[in-house]
Amino acid sequence: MIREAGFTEVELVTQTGFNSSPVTKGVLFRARRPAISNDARVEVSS
Amino acid sequence: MDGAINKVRMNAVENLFTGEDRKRIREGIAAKYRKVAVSPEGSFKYPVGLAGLEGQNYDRGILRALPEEVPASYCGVGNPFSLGPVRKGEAVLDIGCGAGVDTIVAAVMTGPEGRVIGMDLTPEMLERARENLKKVSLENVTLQEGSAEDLPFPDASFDVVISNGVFNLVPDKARALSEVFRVLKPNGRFMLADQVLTAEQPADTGSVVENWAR
Repeated sequence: MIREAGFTEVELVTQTGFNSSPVTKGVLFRARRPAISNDARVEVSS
Repeated sequence: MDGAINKVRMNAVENLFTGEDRKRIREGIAAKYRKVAVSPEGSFKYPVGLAGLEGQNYDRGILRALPEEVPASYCGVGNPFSLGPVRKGEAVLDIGCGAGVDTIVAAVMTGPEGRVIGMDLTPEMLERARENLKKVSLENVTLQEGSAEDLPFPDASFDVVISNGVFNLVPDKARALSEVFRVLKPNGRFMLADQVLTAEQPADTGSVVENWAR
């Protein structure tokens, strides 16, 4: 989903160990907007 | 990466939400965070306050310089600043700033030449953030109400967008991510700490909505 928004260098880096429930995990993501904008990002319909 | 996270499930049953569902979700979030604004103790299954910050390895020098009431209000799920630097002079947006702890940390990092905006949906959390901001000598922070799904900023406004424990609460994550992309400058960085679902969502939207902010 993050890539679909147009981001590049998308990375799920690690778990944080802070989990809000038995079926969820705390995680860290990072991503970058490309230096040159492209037309790849999803257009959000209103 | 732990094999237990084999899928990141976002935006599945959320596609089926009605307007009434979204209203109930907002009300559930508001009710929870009205309580959290007073104190996060007892509202989360992981450490909060200074113990949470130290558990996530926030910069000890910055933490030591803060009045104790500021770290006490932390209820994040990770440390977005562990993902990369906030450089001097940069413009930073903190989406879902809550009581403003990450906003204040970002403001220290970016320095007086930079600027940080903390944005939250919950008026009570913003009020707590304003109280925390009064306790520190920072002139480069503004706080405002707003929604991740409709960011009130022009295109290409920020060098960095951070968020901590918020996107899991946003009903339309695709829209919110598109908004983050829009307000970042080209080459801008998105640093996100959040909760991901590691099991199947219940099939009925009622159950999902009921437990959204739990």
